[in-house]
Order: sequence, then C-alpha cells, then structure tokens
Amino acid sequence: MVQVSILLDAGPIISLTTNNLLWLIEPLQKLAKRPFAITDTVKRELVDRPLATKKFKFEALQVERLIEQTQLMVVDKPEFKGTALRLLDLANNVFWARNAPIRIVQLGEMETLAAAIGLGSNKVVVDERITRTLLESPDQLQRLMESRLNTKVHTDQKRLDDFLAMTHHIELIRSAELVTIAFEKGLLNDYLVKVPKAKRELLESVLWGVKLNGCAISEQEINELVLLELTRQS
Amino acid sequence: MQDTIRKDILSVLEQAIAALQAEDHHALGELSNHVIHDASIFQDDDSVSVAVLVYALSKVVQRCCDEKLPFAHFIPLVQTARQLLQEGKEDEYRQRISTLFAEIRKVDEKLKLYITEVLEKAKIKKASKLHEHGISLARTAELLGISQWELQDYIGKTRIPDIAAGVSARERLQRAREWFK
Repeated sequence: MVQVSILLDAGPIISLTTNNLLWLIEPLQKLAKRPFAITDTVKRELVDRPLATKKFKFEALQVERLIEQTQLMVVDKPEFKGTALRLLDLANNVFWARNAPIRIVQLGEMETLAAAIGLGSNKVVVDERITRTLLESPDQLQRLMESRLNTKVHTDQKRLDDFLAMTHHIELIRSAELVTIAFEKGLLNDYLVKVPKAKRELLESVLWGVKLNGCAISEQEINELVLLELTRQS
Repeated sequence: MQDTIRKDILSVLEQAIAALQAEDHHALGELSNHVIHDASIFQDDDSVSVAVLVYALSKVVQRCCDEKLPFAHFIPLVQTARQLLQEGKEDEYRQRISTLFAEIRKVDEKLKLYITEVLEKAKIKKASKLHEHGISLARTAELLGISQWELQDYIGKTRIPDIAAGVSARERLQRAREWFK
C-alpha cells in the first residue's frame, strides 16, 4: 500500500529545478514525514519529453535522478484513471461561451488531483493559477475569462458542484510556500552571506526566483510572505 | 470547421492582406491576438495555426522591412488561402496554410533569422495568450505542442501570474506550516 503522499504537479518541480533548488525535496519530505509523489503523466512531461529534445535536457536528468533515488515517487495506478477522466470531463464542461464548453485543463493536471483522491491525500502542490483558481475560487475564474474573452461565460453549476464535491478536501500550496518553509526551517542558511539584510535578501531571492520561473504568485503576495516571515523571526 | 471560426479566420486573413500591403508589421502582430478568443473557446487547430502564422508573419515582415528585402510574395499566398476558405475548400485551405509556414521557413536562408526559433517563439507567445485567457498552462502547452518547461519559463517573465486568486498568501503559508511542522 502506497503511503499518503504530497502530490506535485509539473509546475513546482520546474520552478525548483530551474532555480537549482530541487535538492530541497529530500529535506522537505523528511520534515513532512511523508513521500513526495508525481503521476506518470507528469513524469513524462518533466523527464521523457525534454530528454527527447535539446532544451531542458539537463534539468530532466536532475528530476530523473531524484526519481531513481526514490526521493520522488512516481504514481502509476490505472485505477486512478477513471477518477482523472471524470474530473477532466467535469472541469472541461464547467464554463461555456458561444455555445461551446471551454476546455480549461489537461488530463495530466487532473491525474494529479485523482492521485491525491485515490491515495487519500489532501495535499497537492500546484504552481499554475488556473487549476488552483478552479478549485478555490471558480467565480473569479469565470469573471477572468469573461473579461479576457470579451464575451458572456456561462457556468454549469451542476458540473461545478460535482467537481468541487470530489475535490473540496484538497489543499493547495505552491513552490513559493515550499521555499518559504525551507527558509523558515533553516534549510537555506548556507546562502546567508555578508550582505545587508541578508535574511530578507535570501527570502526575496528565492521567492522571486520561483516567480520568474513560472510560479503564479503576485508581487504583493511576495511582499506579504517576506513580511510574515521576517516578523515571525524577529 | 464551424461557421463562426470560418468567418473569423476570413476576417483576420483579409486584414492580414491589408497589413501586408501596407507593410505594417505592428498591425499583423496585433491581429494575431484577434483569433485568440476563438482559439481559447473552440481550441481548434485552424484558429491556433492562424494565430501562430500571423504572428510569425509579423516578425518576418518586420525583419524584411529592416533589411529592405521583398516580402510581397506572401500576399498572393494569403489571398489564395482566403479564397479557398471562402469557397469552403477546407482541405486545400489547410494545405495552403502549410505552404505559408514552409515559405516562412525558406526566408531563413536569406535572413538568417533562425525561423524555427521564430515559429517556436510564436507558439510560446500565443500559448501565453491562451493561458492569460483562462486556459491552464498544461492545456495550452498541449494545444500548441510545446513543452511546459518552455512555457513556464516564458510566462514567469510576464505579468500574467500577477493576479492573486483564491486563498490569501497568509492562509496558504499557514497551511504549508501545518504540512511541515
């Protein structure tokens, strides 16, 4: 039986890898006392696909190494497929415009949620904002699409309710919170150098690092996290 | 092809012809965003490929203008594509769009533009637009046939993720502290 895990979407692994922070996975999972896991589809996007091209090949090798060292579990359970397909069908038929459903998510993203459901976990790390907003604030997503598409976007409330009924227990964090916890727990202390306001500089540097490599976090949120952390430590 | 999509593509191609004739690469770049609404809603290959094509054309025309090189040969190709679509000859229209992409690639030999890169960048640019319109990162990467590594790298440098949504930063951090206590 697989232990209850923390599931990661492709995004956080990409943000950590491109910031040379993938090594944090090992100490973080020791702190959490539970394994970190990705789905087979996410593994294909993170490793198999870039290995077949020239770009991001070395990054792919770093992820593969982590998998081979069993620091990152790969969940490949056919029995979760049905749940993933059900979530995909619901999510991609929630919002409608011009008499057509807007397919907002991809199977791989729903497989991560399905794996969490199947493994009895409520902990998922997602960096991109659309999946997160769908789970946490679907009204906001509907308004965003309406304003961007400049057309009326209708919500199928029944499908949304069914989707949320399956996912309501899931809690989401981002790579931004992972690096903040790493900072808080002293995992990044080797990078405290002799510069003014070294702690602030360090925390800001990793938060901006993950933001600039794709973690959806606003500048205001970064400032808030920095303030919360530094206030806590002072 | 749905009638709505066909009409929108016809309109975009007509405006693209006018922009090419006026040597207005800014208008072409702007025009590529017009089909993004269709591409976001219907996610069909035709809307997506026209968005990428028009954006790539804008880049090529810009470079041709800078280097004082001719690009008028693109105009009859776009005109024929438009004509074929107007006549409902969708397969032939799609072949003509493929020819246009091939012609864009040929320009590379003269301009050393690294057209493959231009086309890749056009895909990434249009993918970021789709994401901005509410389509998830993985879905847009899938639609455009690009990797999430590349798309995330690009989107991170834009203002797209700058909208806070759902749970507050304070609450999310508290949640993370519970996970790792």
